[in-house]
Amino acid sequence: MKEIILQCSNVSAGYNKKNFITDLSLEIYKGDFLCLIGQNGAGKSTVLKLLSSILKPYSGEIRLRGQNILNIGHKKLSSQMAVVRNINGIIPDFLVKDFVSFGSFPHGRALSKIKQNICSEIIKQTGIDDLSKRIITTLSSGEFQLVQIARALLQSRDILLLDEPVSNLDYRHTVEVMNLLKEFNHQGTTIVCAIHDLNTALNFCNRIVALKKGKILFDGKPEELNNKLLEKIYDIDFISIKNPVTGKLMVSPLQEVTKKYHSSKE
Amino acid sequence: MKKTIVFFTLLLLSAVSIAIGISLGSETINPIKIFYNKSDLLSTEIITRLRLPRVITAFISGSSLAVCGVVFQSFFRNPLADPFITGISGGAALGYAISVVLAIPPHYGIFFSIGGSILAIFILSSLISNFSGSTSSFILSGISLSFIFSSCVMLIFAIAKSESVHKIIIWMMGDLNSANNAAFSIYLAPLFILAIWSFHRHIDLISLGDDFAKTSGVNPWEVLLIFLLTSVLVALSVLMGGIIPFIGLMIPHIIRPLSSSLTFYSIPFSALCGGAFLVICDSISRSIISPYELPVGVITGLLGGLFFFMTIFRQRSTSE
Repeated sequence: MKEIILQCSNVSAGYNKKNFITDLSLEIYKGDFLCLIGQNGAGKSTVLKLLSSILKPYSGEIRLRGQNILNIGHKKLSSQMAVVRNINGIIPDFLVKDFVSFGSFPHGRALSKIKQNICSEIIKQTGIDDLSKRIITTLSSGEFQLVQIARALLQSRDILLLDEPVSNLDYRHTVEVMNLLKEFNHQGTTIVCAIHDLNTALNFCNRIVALKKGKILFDGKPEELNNKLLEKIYDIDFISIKNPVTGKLMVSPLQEVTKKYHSSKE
Repeated sequence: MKKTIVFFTLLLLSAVSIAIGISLGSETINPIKIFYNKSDLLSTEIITRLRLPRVITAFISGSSLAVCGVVFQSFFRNPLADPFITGISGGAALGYAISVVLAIPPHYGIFFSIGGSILAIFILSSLISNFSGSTSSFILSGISLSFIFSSCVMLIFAIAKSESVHKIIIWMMGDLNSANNAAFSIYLAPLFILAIWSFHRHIDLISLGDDFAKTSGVNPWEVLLIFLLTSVLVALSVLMGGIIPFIGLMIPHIIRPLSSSLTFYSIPFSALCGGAFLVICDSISRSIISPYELPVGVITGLLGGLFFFMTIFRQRSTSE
């Protein structure tokens, strides 16, 4: 029996008193590499905001190892889970090594010798040691994403929540970032990420949760997804084949939008 | 290594500025001569009773404004944020204006300024406590409060006698004349600077956004506490020298390329640089049209404006 690490029970939430998530129940198990998929506005980022306590639910409860996350202090919560999101607006000119060291904040005030060693170890493990003396604003999107993940891993190796970690990245950096996440997932880190690229999700994760209009439409293994389900999730036609090398599902949308979608809109 | 050099250079600059501040005035006095020739009682009196307290006030006031500038620019993620964005100076100005109109002596009038600042802080904290520590709510509350207070000051201008208006305007342009200063500010301000500095890691995380700070472990009450500490420091600096423009805006811009963006360095560096800058500006304002005095705000505003012109031209020439 797998240990439930995060649990949403009948959660409704949204913005400006309007529901974006309705009566959502989800259990996340230790060791999951869960990808949230769905159309824009389906509620993927909202679910991540709820799990990380950025957003308070209107009703229902979110529990971290059985404890309501609203009753856990920010510092304690951050020492158990780290979040990687896009940083909007003006970013100060921090050095990469200083930025990564911010991950130690919930664990104590100053960076002690031991923490500095852990920090350099994380920098090495994530393969960014050659970037450590660069200024974060001079990095490419792919490099900055790796730096963000390094910071998050220093903060917590328990649970990682990532909002679109590979959007804006080229193929090489996408694979690099996802491989790194996979490696830490094998070492025991529970990963939940919202992702747009279906093939990336199918290749790397071990569980997919598909959302549509704030409700769960599918929750299962990547190989259980099929054209019909994808059509329901995205309202367009898909073709899927098995990758001859990996044996995993490969999908591609068809350009023609389904008539059903059009008629439902009318 | 680079930071150590910058630190000691700023320390030296501060010492030199203090020496200049003590020497310059309606009569130039060499402070080293006083040190060796203690029989020159008049010069000793001028230095110890008049110039030294004023130089110390100017240094601490400049340091406070620069530190508030660093914090607010990080807090609001806006390089144009300055200490007076919160409306606290507006509260102090209103208090002072009321005291002048009511012909209350300066020694008591200062309590009106304190009252105005406290009123502003109280309104601000009660407004923002409803917004669960979001920085955009701080900036909006501050700006609205500033507008309300400045309208009230303008109302006083419209109905007050012309000599009262003149007095208020001089104070609002920056006035380091010790007769109007609250002496306790000089002792309290360094303590507040130290208290704010102890939150340097929080400020770094806040500078990356509300959500980033929250998910990195910064509690909303800690955000509120830093904001209030900085607001009180603004109030103390206003009590020391009126409304002195540009220091809080300009000094963080000078310091940032010299140190790193980490507030662990930028707070003490800005404190030294801001202090030295205001002491030099005050020395110029006291000696340029001696025996008369210019409001120090005229000098800081002029130098600040020129500095920003230079920055814009430098940016344009590097981008071309």
